[in-house]
Amino acid sequence: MSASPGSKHRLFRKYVALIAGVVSLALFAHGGTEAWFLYQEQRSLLARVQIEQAEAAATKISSYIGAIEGQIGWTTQLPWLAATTDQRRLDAQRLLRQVPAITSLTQTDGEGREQLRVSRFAVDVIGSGVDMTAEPAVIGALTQKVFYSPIYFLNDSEPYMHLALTGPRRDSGVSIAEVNLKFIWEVVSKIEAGKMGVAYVVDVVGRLIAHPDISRVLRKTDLSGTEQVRAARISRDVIVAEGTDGRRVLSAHAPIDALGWTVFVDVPLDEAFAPLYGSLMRTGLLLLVGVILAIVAAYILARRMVVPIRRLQDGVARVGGGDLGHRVEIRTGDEIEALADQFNAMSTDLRVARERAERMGRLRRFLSPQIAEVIESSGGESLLESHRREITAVFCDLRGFTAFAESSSPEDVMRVLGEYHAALGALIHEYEGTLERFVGDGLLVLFNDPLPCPDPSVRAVRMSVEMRRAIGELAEKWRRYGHALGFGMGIAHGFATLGRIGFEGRFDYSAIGTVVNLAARLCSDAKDGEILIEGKVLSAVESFTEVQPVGELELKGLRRPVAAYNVISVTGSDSRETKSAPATAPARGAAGSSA
Amino acid sequence: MIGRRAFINGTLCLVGTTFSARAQRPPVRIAWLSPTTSTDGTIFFQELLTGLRERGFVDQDTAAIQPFWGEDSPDRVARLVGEVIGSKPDVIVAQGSAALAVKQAKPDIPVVFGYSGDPVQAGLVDSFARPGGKMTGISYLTLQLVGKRMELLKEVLPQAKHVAVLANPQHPGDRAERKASEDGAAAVGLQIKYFEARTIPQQMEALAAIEKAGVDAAMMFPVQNIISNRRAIAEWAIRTKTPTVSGWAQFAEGGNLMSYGPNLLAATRRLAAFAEAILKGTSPAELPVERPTRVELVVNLKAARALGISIPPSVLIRADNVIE
Repeated sequence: MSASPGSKHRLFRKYVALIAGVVSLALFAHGGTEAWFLYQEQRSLLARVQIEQAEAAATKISSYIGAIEGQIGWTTQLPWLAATTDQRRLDAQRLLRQVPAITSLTQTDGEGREQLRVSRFAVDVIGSGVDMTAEPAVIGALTQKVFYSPIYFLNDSEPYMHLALTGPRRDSGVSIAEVNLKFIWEVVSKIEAGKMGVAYVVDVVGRLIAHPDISRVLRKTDLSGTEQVRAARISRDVIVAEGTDGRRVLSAHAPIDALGWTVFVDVPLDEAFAPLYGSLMRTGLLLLVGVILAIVAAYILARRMVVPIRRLQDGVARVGGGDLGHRVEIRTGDEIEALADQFNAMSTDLRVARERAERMGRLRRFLSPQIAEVIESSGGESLLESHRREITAVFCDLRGFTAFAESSSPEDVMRVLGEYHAALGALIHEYEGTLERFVGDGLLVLFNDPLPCPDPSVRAVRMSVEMRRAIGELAEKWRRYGHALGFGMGIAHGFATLGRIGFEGRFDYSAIGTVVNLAARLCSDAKDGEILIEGKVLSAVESFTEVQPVGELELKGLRRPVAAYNVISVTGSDSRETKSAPATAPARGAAGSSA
Repeated sequence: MIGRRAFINGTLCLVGTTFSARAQRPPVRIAWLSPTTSTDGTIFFQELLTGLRERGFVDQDTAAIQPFWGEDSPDRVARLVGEVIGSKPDVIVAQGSAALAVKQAKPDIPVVFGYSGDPVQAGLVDSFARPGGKMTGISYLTLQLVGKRMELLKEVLPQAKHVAVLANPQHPGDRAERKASEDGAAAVGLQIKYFEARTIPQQMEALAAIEKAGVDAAMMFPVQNIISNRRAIAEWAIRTKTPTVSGWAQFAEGGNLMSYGPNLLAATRRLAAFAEAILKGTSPAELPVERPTRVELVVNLKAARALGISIPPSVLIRADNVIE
């Protein structure tokens, strides 16, 4: 019943953990899958948006280059004739004025010879006639109409490109423009890519040619080794990579096929995923609220379950401690209430059983076990109430006991008494007599009470004969030890008043009446080995008993003399077919001599 | 004495700025060092302030910007460098030849320059892409454009044969520029006569010499003190009917015939971007030197009329600014 302090709340904790755990698990599973799908959806949405941004940027840049191309196109419309050189130079100067990105324009005639070179920085060259047919720009323009040279860096810093065009006619020659790609900065820096995002352009080999931070371009940054550029060569997917400023970014790209360039749009992850993080945060918050609710619910539920259990536990402890009247009050309307009710019923039963056991203890003191059992089972102590009944009383004691007790050691006295009581006790039980009392060596045994029996006197006599035989054997033994002890008995039959006497804590069952006195007087008159009975007893047993009249005895306290008989032996069996131990009593004279 | 007064004048306009600044945190300190007088240089200084303002500085709480004026005196510039460094600015913005003076002092302060010559040749930086030291800025492409100016002169005056070149030999790129002008002149069929002047009084003597030399036109190297002296040169040009060309728009705006060169105002404003990047922690060694993206032609038609020349359409078509 004693529980360690730790284990006292174990059940409660177990329930809280279990309920909260199960509910939280469900919440997490749900929240998790939702968050995952949300993440996937949002991510692909963001990726799409960013790819669109990159494509829009690519379109802007290619249309910027396209516009330059268109402007150069005007200079190739006319066939090359010497007379129009001045006109062409004016056109070229107008072009340079119109398109700040072009730093110089070189034109060849139909035969691929340089006829004009107009520059912002260098002195113009007119009609040099230098053969340019081997120039890649001329070859490229003639074969592809439009030619874009690889990027080169002026002063190892500023990105430039040759853009060569040929006109619709065979003799319109080739126009080669030197384009300062720094100017794309004006386009790139205006491209919207979120608040913190950047759009930048990388050439075919991965060199940076446009970036809102122009100094990165001028430093001739090679990005071919970055995750973005390498991934872009393989697929169009949006990836997470390290941005140009070292932060993690979501990187989308779009190619500008004609130029072989790629436009990248990098948006820092925390900005790109801000809406995603927002929804995840909301999901997380809901999850948290859910878990808190689950814990509270688990607490309440477990309390409702555990508090009655604990009350039951206390009840069990109290009942176990002996308080059988304790009742466990639980009104939960469930199994626990039923359990409490059963427990209450059980403790009631226990109380009844204990009371009965106490009664039994009392009864056993003066009844043989089987009779005690019968009384116990048949209704209890009402049998012990005061009443008047016809009984047979048997009185017996030892002859010479007082002298023996005085002259012997207490140990010997106790041993002798022990053997004596043991021998008699067994027989009393056997014949179902009621041991009214015993005082020292004297015993009073009643028959026909508290349970009636059909033949009280018969039993009394048969028992007595058995007793005489048993004590006779014992007396032989005692004599060998030097103890001279004899045994005498008296049996009487008649009415007596019976009932419980005494006080709380010490009750005795007692018989009061002449029959008891008569039995006692007969006993005291009986010599060693004699069983003295009076007439009423004799009439009940004479059919099988051999007696010897001992004459009218004047007994103390009795007005009239009483005819007494010494039982010599019992013969055969009576109707009950019980004991058939023919005990031969010694002759009255012989017995008396040994007293 | 004059220098000090100008210096005080220059700083006075900022006193209000710095004093009204709430001293919650030390403001960013920027020093502007110009070799010119405040009169000639204020237009550029204002441009820098505009550029800084565009970038969120100069709102009185965030930046204290102090100008130092060299008053066209190289000696004074050399002295000012000490003062500039002593004022412990976060960044120095040095214009033109002042950058060279600052470089001599080797300060441990980042320097942004607007330099007319080749900064690699002048030893200001290691390379355009990676300056590598404490200095970076803008190179004004002057050297490249010398030939182009010869071409313009030839176009305006097809009969011209001789062109005077006025230079300042103190300018570190002078020799290269002289070579470039000879090449450019040869390309368009001109011959040059070289004149040099270190100071403005010497310039006046040189102008007299040019007048005597009997040239068809004169090209002035876009050196700080020549530009500063543009009005006197313009007067001389009109008086002697000598068409003049140089590199900075101020030159033509000041009454001379033409200028062909980068837009210095825009370039100076761009210096603010360098200052910003450096103040935000970028090392000047990692900030590439930029070159102006636009070159502009300014033609002064008033001067042309006074000189009795008509400007051909092939020149006018290119003009970004025509002064009527």
